[in-house]
Amino acid sequence: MITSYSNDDLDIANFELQKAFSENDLETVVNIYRSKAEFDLKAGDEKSAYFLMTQAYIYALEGGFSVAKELKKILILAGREAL
Amino acid sequence: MVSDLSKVDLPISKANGLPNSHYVDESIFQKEKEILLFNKWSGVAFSKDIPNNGDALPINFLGFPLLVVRNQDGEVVVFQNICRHRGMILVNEKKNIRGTIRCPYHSWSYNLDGNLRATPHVGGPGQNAHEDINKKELGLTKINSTVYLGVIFVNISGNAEPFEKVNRNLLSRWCEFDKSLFYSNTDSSFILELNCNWKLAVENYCESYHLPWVHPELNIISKLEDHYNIQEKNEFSGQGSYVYRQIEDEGKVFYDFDGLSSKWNEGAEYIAVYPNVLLGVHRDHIFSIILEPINKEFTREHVAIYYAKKESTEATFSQLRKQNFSWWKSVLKEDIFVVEGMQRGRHGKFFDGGRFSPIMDGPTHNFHNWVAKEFI
Repeated sequence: MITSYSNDDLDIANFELQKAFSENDLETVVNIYRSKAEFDLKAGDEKSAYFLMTQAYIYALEGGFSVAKELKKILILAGREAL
Repeated sequence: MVSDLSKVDLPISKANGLPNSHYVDESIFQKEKEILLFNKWSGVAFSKDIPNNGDALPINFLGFPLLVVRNQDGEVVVFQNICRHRGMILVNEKKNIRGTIRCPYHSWSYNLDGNLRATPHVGGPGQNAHEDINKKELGLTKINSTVYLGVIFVNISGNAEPFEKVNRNLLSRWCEFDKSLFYSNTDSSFILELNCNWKLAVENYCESYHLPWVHPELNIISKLEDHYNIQEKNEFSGQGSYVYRQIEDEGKVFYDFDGLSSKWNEGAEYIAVYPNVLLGVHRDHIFSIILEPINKEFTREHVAIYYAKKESTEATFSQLRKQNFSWWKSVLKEDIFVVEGMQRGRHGKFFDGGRFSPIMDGPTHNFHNWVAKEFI
């Protein structure tokens, strides 16, 4: 997991995200969005964090991944999703 | 165009068939689309098309976008295939959905029962709820549906009486066949393209009068006299045979349905379920045909053969299935020149709908009566 994002890191994450989408690898899509969301949350950028957490949540729902429940809970606790 | 149907519902000995306009006129085709197809229980797909939980099949039925789904409980459900947000088509091609149906436009997401699960960013970036967006009120629009003999029927208007009520006489007549059916993926379905109005395929299917001439190979084993008319007013019509013989390969035959009465030892029946489904039942297999009207003069005929027992779909029966497939395909192909010829004939402006044989054409007259009754 990336712990800090330089411009190069962002390029790498972006490349990996595009690759995952092209391969319909939703699990990787969810992981990339979630990683960046958690990083932004730690960095205090809530606006970006919950945008990306939402992206992770939606693709987790689509994939039928159990992590969707966890992501939904995070969003509810943050006042970003209804019960 | 106004269509004069006054002679259609006369007694068969005096009646004319449906006038040309019901086969060649665009405005009548559109009217029939609503009255005969959307307001009734129309066949749109086969249960074998969505065998697994999560399978989703988009269908464009006469321009109406349908989504046929097998939910996580294994039940078939049908929705209008559009998002409640911007009316975007939700699913473009057949696929298996493990989680939610996600709209590709703004990702409003629905579960396989049609409930709206998520509305991302609906209240602004990262804000996924809004007081004015009530998810409980914004599920997918459900289309009434049911499955019978491997066919998924829908009532698009939502106004028809329940399928079981509309077709109670058929369900009762064929109750012995209303059981689990088994399908072989490799050799049990095909599609024929017919340059004709869909109704001509119904009319040809439900009568046996043409058999000696269009299917002369039947004359030795299944003569005209071995058939009988089937007609239930405003419901269905067709033909039955007293001399069905199982396909055999070195003494091997398909397995039978359990518990059939002796009538079916050598009996078979072929019924057109109004409006657009043609069914045939035999002791060891059935077939289901969906007539997909593409336009007023073009129809796709989707055919699926289902077997009575799982064993009949296994590799050891592949040769027998191949024979059965070839047999039905060749018989149904023999009918193409007839329905296409009648379609071309409907452009002859002096044709008055034709006169019926009072003895042989009852099933066709019954269908025309139904059309006329619904249309007036």
